[in-house]
Amino acid sequence: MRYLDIAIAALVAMSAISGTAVWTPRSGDGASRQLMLQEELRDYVLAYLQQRGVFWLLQSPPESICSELSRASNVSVTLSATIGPRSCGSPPSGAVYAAVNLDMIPEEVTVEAWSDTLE
Amino acid sequence: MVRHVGIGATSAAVVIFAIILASNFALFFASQDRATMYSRSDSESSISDSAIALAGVGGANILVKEQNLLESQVWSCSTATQKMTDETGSLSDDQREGNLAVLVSAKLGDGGNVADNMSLLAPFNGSISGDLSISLQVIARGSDSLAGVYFSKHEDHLVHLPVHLQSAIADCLEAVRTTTTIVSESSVTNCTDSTVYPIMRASSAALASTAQRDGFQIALDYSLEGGASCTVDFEVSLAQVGIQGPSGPFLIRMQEGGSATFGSAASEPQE
Repeated sequence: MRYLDIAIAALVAMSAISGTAVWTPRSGDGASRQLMLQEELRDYVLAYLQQRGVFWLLQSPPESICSELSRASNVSVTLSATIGPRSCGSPPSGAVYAAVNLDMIPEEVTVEAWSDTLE
Repeated sequence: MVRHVGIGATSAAVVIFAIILASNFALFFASQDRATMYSRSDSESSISDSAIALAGVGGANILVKEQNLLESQVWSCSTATQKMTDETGSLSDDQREGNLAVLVSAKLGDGGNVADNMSLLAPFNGSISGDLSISLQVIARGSDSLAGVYFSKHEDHLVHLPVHLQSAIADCLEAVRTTTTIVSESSVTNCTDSTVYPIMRASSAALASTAQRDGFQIALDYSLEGGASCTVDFEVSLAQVGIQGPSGPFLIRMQEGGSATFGSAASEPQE
């Protein structure tokens, strides 16, 4: 009977630990944080475009756009763009990424931002 | 006794773990609610940001279309205002992203110095007195049914292109009137190009100085009809060059023809 008690207690403990692990609040926090970071990055791109305007994207060659975005990047956020078929760069795997797509005449431009250190 | 202790310990373990599990459940659902709230907030913010970006892009495309329209033809000075009003009024741009649609439509604005907060369109945002003013109507509608977010926005904005349309039209029509007056008030002994040329050259020089003062280039071409009355058909061509437009520098050209008879009353400009 003692072994039965120990088995039941162990079963209860295992169930509780499994439940704690499965329904951990950390999973929800992770998703929330991811969304929040993406929103911060989108805001960052939009704020940059509002400060700079969009017409320089039409009037500058791709390499000039890339170097300007590179200068506007900082330790936390990397700015990049895809101008037609040309891309300034791509985010490292695992980075939080956001993009603002500008379907302009005559060419589509996507201004991107990513971060792997944003807090 | 030992058995009772075992049952007690098991019961205590059940109770303690049940409390831990219940607490964890509560935290889990709270965090789920928080995630849903963030998701909704993110969705609202994302749609609102996207609407701003799409409206900006729509406005930029309208300005590019307006530049293409302005440089695509030689405008008649007497009909340019009406024609430009009609053709600008037909410009629109439709932008879509997911479930968000933004329609931007244009019409000629009233002008004057008016600031506008559509900074994505800098340096063409707002209206500047003397420049070609364009009024943009922005209608944005979107939704994210998963997050329960519905979005609708109606805004009016003013943008401008540094084209001095009214000034150009005024100078062009004034040039036609001046040429008509100069010709009709001049007498020629014989109706030959050698007699007429100095008069037309003097007229052209007078027009050029007025036009240059306003930043335009002007040219006067003419042909003699000859005959006893010595009538000259002329054409005033006016251009504003080096306009810094949204897709690079461009020029706008205008033209108006006229006809006048030397030594007679002024004639009406040709339509």
